[in-house]
This record gives sequence, structure tokens and C-alpha cells, in this order.
Amino acid sequence: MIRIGLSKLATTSLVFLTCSLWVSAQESTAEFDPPRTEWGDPDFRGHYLPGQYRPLEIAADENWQPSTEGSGGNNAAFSRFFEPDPDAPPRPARLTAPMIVDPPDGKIPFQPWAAEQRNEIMVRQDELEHLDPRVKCLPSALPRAHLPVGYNTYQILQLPGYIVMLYEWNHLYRYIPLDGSPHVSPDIRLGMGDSRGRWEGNTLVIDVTNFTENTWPVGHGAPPEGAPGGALTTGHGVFHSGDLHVIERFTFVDANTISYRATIEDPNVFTEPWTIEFDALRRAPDGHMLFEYACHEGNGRGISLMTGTDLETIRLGER
Amino acid sequence: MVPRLFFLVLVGLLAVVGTTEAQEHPGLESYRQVCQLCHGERGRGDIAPVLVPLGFDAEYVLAVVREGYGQMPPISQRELSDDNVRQVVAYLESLSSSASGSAQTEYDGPRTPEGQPDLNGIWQVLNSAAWDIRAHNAQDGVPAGLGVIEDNVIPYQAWASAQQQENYANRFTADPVRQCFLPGVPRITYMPFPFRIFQTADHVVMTYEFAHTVRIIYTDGSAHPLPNDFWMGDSRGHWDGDTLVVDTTHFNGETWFDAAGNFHSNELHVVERYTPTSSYHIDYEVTIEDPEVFTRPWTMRMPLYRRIDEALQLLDYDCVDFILESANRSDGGVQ
Repeated sequence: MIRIGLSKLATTSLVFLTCSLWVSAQESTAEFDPPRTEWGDPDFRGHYLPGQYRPLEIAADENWQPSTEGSGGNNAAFSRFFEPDPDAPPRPARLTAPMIVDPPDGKIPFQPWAAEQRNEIMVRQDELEHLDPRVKCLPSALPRAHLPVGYNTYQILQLPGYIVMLYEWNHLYRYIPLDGSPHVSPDIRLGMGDSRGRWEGNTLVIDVTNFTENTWPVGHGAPPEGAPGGALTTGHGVFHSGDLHVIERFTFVDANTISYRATIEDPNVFTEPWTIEFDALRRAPDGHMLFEYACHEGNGRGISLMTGTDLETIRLGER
Repeated sequence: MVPRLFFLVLVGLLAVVGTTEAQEHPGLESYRQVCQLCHGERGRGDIAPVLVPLGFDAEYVLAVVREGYGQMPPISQRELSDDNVRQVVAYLESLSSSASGSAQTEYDGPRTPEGQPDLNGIWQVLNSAAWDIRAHNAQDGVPAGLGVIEDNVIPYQAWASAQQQENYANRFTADPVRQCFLPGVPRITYMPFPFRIFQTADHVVMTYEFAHTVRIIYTDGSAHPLPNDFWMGDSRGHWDGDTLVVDTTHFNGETWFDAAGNFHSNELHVVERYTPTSSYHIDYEVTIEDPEVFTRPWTMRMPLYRRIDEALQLLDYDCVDFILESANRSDGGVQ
């Protein structure tokens, strides 16, 4: 009871001071003690917006050329076609540190053949088979579903024993049991993987396996405006095998910001596990709601223009 | 017995101090503080009798409250003023009237902390409505069914009846679900796939195995947003006694009710009533209104069954992938 009382007090002060302390709160090393649910777990419930666009990787031999101007946060490519997305991830005004924190060189530790395969995938984006799976409206997989992209916001629900994460983009969802149950049979494959969660202090740790092989584990929106094209990548074309294993860690750094750390293992593709970390979730303003993002339903013409394949003539079988 | 009841009433008083329920009936607070411990939540009865529907007027109730009755102790003005009593009576009467129109059940399954039936879990229909909501004989790959429509009549306008017959003739190519488009409401409910309900104090979220469809149903008293159109519509819910009532509008008019060409326009208005009759069964009633297509509102009804398979979880039916695989094959396979 005392702990709950203190948490509430801490939340109130933090909300009050959020604006003035924004920068220092992010740099603070003291662990934030989040509010608790009625049943005593850290309370992750709420609506969230995506975190800031950042480069995934650094190409170590490139010069860093900071941009002199930032944008207001709207994804320029999308806004040509749609109303500006008010919830779009903000773009930094200058180049920031990459998401990859391990290995220290900030590069994806591809096996040599896999690095070539990735290049091949990227030069063949006009073929349906190699096209970005998210452009084809396949599930985002992980950790890609938590990387910044336009038209994706989040809602987290919590009940005793499990957590549910809803993703606005392509109406994806994850059910995350916290009961210590084992992963589903390895014969079962799931676009968003099979999630099993647990608490480590105030951190939600999720172990994810059983992925399909037709998704990309990373690949997010545009790099900062003005960034030299060769200086960084956004993780497109990175692929994985059915042995992909992702370990995610969600930690509140203040009342309105959740840090996200994901370790990606796939011994068939990478030489070692690698880890990304950044503030992936920002609490949304009051009244935020997730709208329907019907992805595949309007995708036929786009796919046809990109690949020459007419999906609209294809029908599913009897059932 | 009387002292024990007094003690219970006092414990009840202490237990509810500090709880707040915004926008509740003005009589609810008094009911909770003084009456609920013995008469149960929402007057459903517990160690003291059921109070809904309330068969007494306020003056009679006032007399019983002041003088006691049977095992019920007298309650003083200090604990419950005359006005409080009248508010409690109004509260119980409001429950009586809202319960009268709905399917009356004696639900005795688990409840949420808010007192609603706890629908959390995995559910599924056991019927063939996904193929045809009307009575129909079997076809290749289609099980026969008695239909789920009241009176087995869909009251189409004349032009719409002709349109439905055309849809039926072209169903293998014209059915939007065969293109893996979102199935709409209520079709998603009776697709032959399980779905999971998450129920919190202000949301009921339904996640479906078919095409990872999601319905976020707000039960926080909020209204439909500005008109827009969605494949799955915009859903707002509220609890009517033990019934979850979901009002859905803002459809795009592109979906069908089944694989047999039964259809609607973007004027569709769906009211679903989820009434649990036990821990394992929900009476699912759907009223369809669409003045563009039908001559009157009409109703479907079917049971939903709780799936109790051990370690059951929703899996994937990502039909986009099947469409893509088919496209790759028809392209002659690009590598």
C-alpha cells in the first residue's frame, strides 16, 4: 500500500514537471518507479505514440553530416497521398545515435552470404517475392512493430496474468501471457511470433519465438532529413529464418516514456546476437484512439504499380 | 442475527469509503454503502432477497428501512436519509426497467471487479452462418444449416433481393472475404474461427483469428466519432444489466453478411447484444437496420460457446499471405 501511494505521488509530480524536465528526465539514470495496477504489476495501460525516427545502423566509414534543419514530424512520403499524420514519429533535427547499441560498431552482424542476400533483396524490390513484407501488408513481426513509422500508434491493455498490445498499423495484436507457460509447438508459425512475458523488477521482459519466415525483423521510416544516404540505413532488406528469437524489454523511463530494448538472435543469418535500444513509446494525449488501418484492402493498385502483379484477380478457396 | 447484520452493514460502509464512480446513478453510492452487502450488486440478491425488479414503492421501502423487516435491521436517518432512500429506489427502478427489455437470465458465472459478467476468454460459434445466414442445404465444402435469422426472412427491398441473387450467382469471385478483405460486423463473429475477448473497466476488445481482425469497443460512455467509414465500423458499447450492448455504425458498405451474397449498404446500423447465460455460453443477438436495403429491421440470434481446450491460444489465419503465395505461383514463380 505504501508503495502504491508513493508511486502515485511520483507520477503526479512527474506529470506536473514533464515539460521542464523533459531533457534531464531522459538522461537521468535513476530508475523510475511506475504506477501499479490494482493487482500490483507495473501499469503499462494506455495509448502510446511511436518514438523518434533514428537511424538503425551506422556505416562506420561514412562521415556524419548533421542536417541543418528538421521537419515538423510528418512523414513527407505519406503526406503526399494522405492528410498529414498528427501522430507521426518526430524527426530529429540532426543525426542521432543509432538504435543498435550492440555490437558497439552499430552495424548488423550479418554472415557474409546474408549481407549479399540483403543487397539482392533491396535491388529486387520491384518483384513481389522480394518486396518489403510490410508493403505487402504482412505482419510487422518484431521488433519492427515497435520501430517508428507513420500511421502506427499503440494501445496496451492489462489484466491479471497477461498483457495485450494493439497496433494501429494493419490491426495487429499480441497476447502476452505472464504465467510462465512455455512457447507453443515449434510446428506453429505466427506473423507476430509467440510471446511469453515476465517481470524483472519494473521491466516487462518478453521472449518471442515461432516467427514465420516471410517478414523482416526491422525496417522503419525515413532517416533524418538531410542525412547523407550512405551514412546510415533504416534496416530494410534485413531478413531472418524460422529460428529468429527476440527478447524485448519495456521499461518506463518517466511517466510518459517507455524505453524499448530488443535483442535479435538468428544463428542462421547473423554471426552474433545484436541489440537495439531507444525510447519507442510516448504516452498519447488524452482522447487518443486507434483507428482502423485496413492495409491489404486498398493495396491492390499499389502492388500492381510496384510489381506488375494484379492481386485483385486472386481469390481464396472454398472456405 | 441482527447484530451480525449490523456488523456487516458497518463493514460494508467502511469498505466502500473512498470509491468513486463517475456518472453513476445518484442512488448507487447509497445502495453500495448500505444495501449491497446483503442484497447483492445491482439488487440481484445475496443473503437478503432480490430487489430487481422492484415491486415496492418508495414509501413502502422507506417504512421497511426505518422499522426493519424480518432479518433486516432498522437503518437510521444518519446512515441513510429519506432522500437517500428515494434515490436508492430510483436506482433500483432504473435497473428494473433496463432489465425488462433484455433476455432475462440467471447468470451465475464469474464477474469483473466492476460487477459485469466476465467475458474474458476465447469464444467461437458452432454453426454454418459464415456460409449462409439463411436456412440452407449442404454444398461441396459447405455444411448445411437451419439459419440464424428470426423467421428465416431477410426483408430485402425488391431491387436488393435481385442484387442478392446476383451476388449469390457470383459468390466465388464477388465475396469480399475471398479477397481477404475484413469481413465486417456481424460476419466476423460467426466466421468459423475462434476469437478472444478482453474486458476491462472501459473497453471490451475483441481480437479474431481470422485476418488478425480487431474490434476496440469503448464502454466508457463515449459517442461515435465524426462520420467516417470503416470495414469493421465504429463500435461503442454499454452494459444493460448483464448484457453487453454494442452499437456499430460508420460502415463502408463493402462487406457482406455471409458467403452467400447477403449484403447491406453503408447505412448499416448493427446492434449486438451479448448476454451470457452461463460461464460457457453467450446468447448473441444482432439487430440489423439499413433503410437503403431492407424494408424493416431484422434479427439474427445464435449461441457463442466458450472454448475450454487446454492451453488454447489464437493462431494465425493471415489470408494476405495466401493471396501473395497464389500471386507468386501465377507469376510463374519469380525465383
